[in-house]
Amino acid sequence: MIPDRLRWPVLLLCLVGIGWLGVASTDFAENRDAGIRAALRDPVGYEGSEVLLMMWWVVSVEGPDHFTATRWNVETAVEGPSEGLEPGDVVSVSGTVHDGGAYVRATEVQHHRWRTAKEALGVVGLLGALVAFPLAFRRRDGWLEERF
Amino acid sequence: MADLLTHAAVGLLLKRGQHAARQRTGAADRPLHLASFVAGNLLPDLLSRLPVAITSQLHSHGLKLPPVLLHGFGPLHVPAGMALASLALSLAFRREQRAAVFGNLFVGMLCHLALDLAQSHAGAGYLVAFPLSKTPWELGWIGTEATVPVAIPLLLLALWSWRGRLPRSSPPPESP
Repeated sequence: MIPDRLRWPVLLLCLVGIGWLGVASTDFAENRDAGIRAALRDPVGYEGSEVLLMMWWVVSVEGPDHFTATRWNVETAVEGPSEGLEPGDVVSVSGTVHDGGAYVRATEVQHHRWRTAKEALGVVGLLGALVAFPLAFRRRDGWLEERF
Repeated sequence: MADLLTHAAVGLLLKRGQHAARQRTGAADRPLHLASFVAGNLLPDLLSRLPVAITSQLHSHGLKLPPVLLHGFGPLHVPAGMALASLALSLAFRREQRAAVFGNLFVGMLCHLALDLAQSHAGAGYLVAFPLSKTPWELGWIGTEATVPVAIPLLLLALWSWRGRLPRSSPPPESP
């Protein structure tokens, strides 16, 4: 494995690699030629194109077939079934984008009813990890060691 | 992503299986690296989803953040970033433990991704080959919240399976 004399250069290379991946990932997310962001950049070119609003928050419910959802500071109206939806709920919407991203005509609306419970489990898991990590690892002479 | 408790439980159960297999073959005294493996099962979410959850909340409340703080942590949830993170973390361990810690962290992270790939994100999937490929992929066998009802029972089962059996790592020999 990595000898001690190369530890810091290898760590630096790892951090540079992770940083480069982060920049590439950001570029992909911001400039990909699909999705609601692309439709907002080019309303005419993307009229009617397919989009997926993954894990968006419901802002308001205007009627049985209309609601408004938001994420990443983008807000759009959705034409699709809103039965059982309330502001604050999380949905994933597949559909087509219209009027320059002003509304999405849904072909499928998935209501993530267990999302709050899942987030609560995430918080419990995070707190558990904060307790478990110091129990599972220890420091000795400047090095980390596993206890188990 | 599945919830953290389920990931921890899966990590504990997989290592329990390895421990049982080693007991059958008479190799139970070999270091199991349980801590690194379970940490590997948790770290992809702690390194990528947790920071994004915080920055996206700040962003949604109007705080202007550079896009890299919103999207830049994602690669720590795909194999390329997992390998780099595992290697970086393994450097904090002594040289003689480094390879095993790296292997257990990385394989643990891959187990995390494998469980997440079983979920359906309406076709969004994960960029498993990023940066070589930007095509998302997933198996789509279960819903994104399917693990929630089983998380606590599964974790209790995993902890029960280890009762009285935790293998303590022996300390390294004292340096002269």
